[in-house]
Amino acid sequence: MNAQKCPRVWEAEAIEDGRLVDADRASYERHAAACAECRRELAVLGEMRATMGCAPAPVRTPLQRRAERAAILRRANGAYMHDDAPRARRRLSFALAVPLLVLLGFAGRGRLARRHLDVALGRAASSAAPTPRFEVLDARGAVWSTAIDGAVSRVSLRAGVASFHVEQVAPGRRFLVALPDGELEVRGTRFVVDVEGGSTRSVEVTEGLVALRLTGETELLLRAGERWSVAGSAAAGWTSTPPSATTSSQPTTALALPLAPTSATRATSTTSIGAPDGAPSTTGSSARGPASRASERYAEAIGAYRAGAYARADALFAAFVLDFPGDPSCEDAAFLRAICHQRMGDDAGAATLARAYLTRYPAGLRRPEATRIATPPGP
Amino acid sequence: MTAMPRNRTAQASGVGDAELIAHLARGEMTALGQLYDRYDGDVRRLIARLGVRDGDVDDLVQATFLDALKSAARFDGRESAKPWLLGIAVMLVRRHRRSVARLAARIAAWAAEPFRTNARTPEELAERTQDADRAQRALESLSPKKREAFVLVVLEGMTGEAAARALGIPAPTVGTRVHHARKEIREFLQLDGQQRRGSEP
Repeated sequence: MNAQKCPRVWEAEAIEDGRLVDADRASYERHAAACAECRRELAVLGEMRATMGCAPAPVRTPLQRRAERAAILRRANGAYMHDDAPRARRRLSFALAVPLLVLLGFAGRGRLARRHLDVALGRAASSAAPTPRFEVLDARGAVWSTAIDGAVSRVSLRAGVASFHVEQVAPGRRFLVALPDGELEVRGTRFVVDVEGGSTRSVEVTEGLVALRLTGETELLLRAGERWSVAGSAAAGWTSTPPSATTSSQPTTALALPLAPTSATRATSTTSIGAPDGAPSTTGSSARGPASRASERYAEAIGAYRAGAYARADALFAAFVLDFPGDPSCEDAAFLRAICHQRMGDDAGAATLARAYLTRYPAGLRRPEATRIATPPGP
Repeated sequence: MTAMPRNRTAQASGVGDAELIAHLARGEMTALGQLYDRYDGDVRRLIARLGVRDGDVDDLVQATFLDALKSAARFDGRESAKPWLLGIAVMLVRRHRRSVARLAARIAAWAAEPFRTNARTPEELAERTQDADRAQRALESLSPKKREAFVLVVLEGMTGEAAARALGIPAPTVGTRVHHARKEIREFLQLDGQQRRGSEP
C-alpha cells in the first residue's frame, strides 16, 4: 500500500460513514478541496461503495411478496392461537402419558393400552373432514363468498384480487372458484385471481394445476409458474394466452351465481348455490353499481385508517356497515373499528367492538386477533 | 463529495414506526403487515448480503418479522424501526450460521470434501454480472463480523451508533471493523483487477 502523507486522510472514511458533522465536516471539505490525496481517497471510497452496492440482492415479485406477507401473518396468528400455556400442558400430558403406557405394557396390560390407542386412532380417522381445506386471502379489495354443495366446495369471487391456497382435494370431491365470467377448478394449489368489472383479468398459478373455464371459451390448464391475463378491456375476451398453457378437450362450462353478497369468511356454509353447469352467467351492470359505490366508501375509510386518522376512519367504517350491511367488506370494517379504538387508546371500546365482531362473525378471518382484543390482559 | 443518506425513514402512511411497533406490541397483526410492507426489501437484502444461501433467505425473512412481533415490547421507540429490524435479522443470521456450521462440521466428518456454505451452482454463477460477482466475492472474503459491520454501515447506510445497537457491540468497535473490512475489500478489488487485466489477451 502507498504511504499516506496527509495526516487528515483518515477523515475521508469518517465523512463517508457520516461521522463528521457540522463544523468538522465543513473543515474537512475545505481541506479536501485543496488536498489531492484526500480527494483521491474520497474517490476510492465512493467507487468502492458503488462497486459493493452491486452485490446481488434478491428481487421478489409482487405475487411472491403477497404470498410471503400472508405466510407471516398466518404464522403469527397461529402463534397466538397456540400460546405457550396449552403447549406446556400438552408437553406435560405427553410426558406423563409415555411412562404410563410403558408401565401398562410392562404390567401385562398392553392389550388395554392398545385398545385405547385404537379408539383414539379411529376417532382421528373418522373426524378427518372430506371437505378440502382452503384459505382465501384478500390481496386487494376482494369480494367473495363460500359454499358447499354436496361434494363441491365453491368460492365465488365477484371482484378484486384474491390469493388462494387449497390443500390437496380428496378423490370424489371438487373445489371450484366461480368467477363472474366462468370458473376455475383446482386440485390442491396456490394461485391468485384478479376480477374487475364483472370479468376475470388474470390468473397466476404458483403451485399445482388449475383449469380455467371462461364462458364461451375452451378450457385452459395452467400449471405452476404460468399466468393468464386478458389484454386490453374485459370486452376483448381472450386476447392473450400463457406461453405454455395447454387446451384440454373438456367442454366449456359456465356457472350462474347469485350476486347477493354474503359474508367473506374462511368458514364454509352449507348453502346450496348456483344453477347446473352450462347455464349462462348472470353477471350484469345493475349489480356492479352498488358494489362500486360500496368499494369507494370502503376505500375512503381505509384511506383514513392508513393515514392514522382513526376517529374519522371509525366513523366511516361505522357508516359503511350501516349503509351496506350485506357487503362482504363489512367483516373487515367491523374488525377495523376495533383496531381504530385500540389505536386511539380506547381499550374498553375496542374490546366491545371486538366482541361484537366475534358475535357477528364467529368464524371470521380476524378471529384470532379479535379474540385477543376482546380479552383484556390479565393483571 | 457526497455522504450516504442516514436512517431514511420510509413512511408510506401517516403512522410512524414507533407508533406502529407500539401497536405490534399489543398484538396487532395489521401492524405486522404494515411493518412488512415497509421493510421486507431491506431485511431480505441484508440477509442475502450476509451470505445466507438463497434457499434459506425466505425462512430468515419470515423469522425476522415473527421475532419482531415477540420483541416489539422491547422496542426503544426510536424514529425508524429499520436498524432494530436489521439487528434482529443479524442475530438470526448468526444463529443460522452457527447451525449451518455445526451441520457442515458433521458432513465434513463424513466426507473428505470440505463443506462450502457459499458454493454456487454453475447456473447461479452464469447469471451474475461481472460487477455483482466481484462485489459478492469481496463480501465473501470478509469474516462474518467484519461483513456484518460493513454491510450495515456502508451498504445499508446506517450510522455507527445504529449499527452498534443492532450488533450489540460498542460503536468504536463497529468503526474498527468497518475500517478493516474496507482495507481488505480494497486489496481484494485491486488484486482482482490486476488478475483480470493479466488474463485479457
